[in-house]
Amino acid sequence: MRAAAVPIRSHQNPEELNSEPLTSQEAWGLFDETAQLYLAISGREFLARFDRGTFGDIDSDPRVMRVASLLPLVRKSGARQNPF
Amino acid sequence: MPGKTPFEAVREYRDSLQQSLSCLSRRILRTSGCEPNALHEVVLSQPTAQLITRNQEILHLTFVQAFSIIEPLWSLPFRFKVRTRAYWYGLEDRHHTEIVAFHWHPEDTSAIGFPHFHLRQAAGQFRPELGKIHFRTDRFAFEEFCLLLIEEFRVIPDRDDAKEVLEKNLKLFKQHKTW
Repeated sequence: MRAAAVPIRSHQNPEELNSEPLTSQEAWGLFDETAQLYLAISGREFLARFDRGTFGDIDSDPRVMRVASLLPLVRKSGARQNPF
Repeated sequence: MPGKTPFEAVREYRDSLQQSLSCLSRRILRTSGCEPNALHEVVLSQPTAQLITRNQEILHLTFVQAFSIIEPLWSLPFRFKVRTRAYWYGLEDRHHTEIVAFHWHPEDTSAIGFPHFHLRQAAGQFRPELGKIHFRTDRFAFEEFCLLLIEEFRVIPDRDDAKEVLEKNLKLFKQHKTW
């Protein structure tokens, strides 16, 4: 396919930089949005199913892995604890 | 990236990644905190960042890095340093089905402790066992992933100096990495 003469760049609007850490509410919002996008369930439902072990090997399902990768956002655990 | 305070170390680390991300997208990165002795993450402000290829195909970038703040004695007066604990970089098609992914997550419950690469469903038709293999890789920097997207997946950079910025940041990453 022939490339466009004038490629369209990202059409996202620039977001404002924010050096502040995510608030708990923002972290939960992002976690919930990600669970909805990939698995059509809420973040809390994901956590409940994850803790029951219903997802099995999370590494074999990229949609589950995407949400699981954000677990440290909503499980503010110390470094000695494994949030995964 | 070292800093005099935990906040400064995290800001330096985040800013470097943000500059690399700006080569592809205007999405911003947020961190989950900067307290020492805790596991934190740097993430996109939304689940994915949209990309456009030279063929005008819409793709999505995914990005997560887990990190913690350490105080290595050798770095005084820049006492605090960010140590990467895990990473997940991925490329998805317009329907959010994954094409390829580079992962390293040695502390999760899987037995895969080494950095690896996944070839996923949206990459096209291939033997089913290929989708399950963790192809072993070296540690893969986010900047290397961005360069791969520009050079091989023909993603349109969002700035004219993208390659120079990514190569500069990759060089910095290699100077600071410990493995």
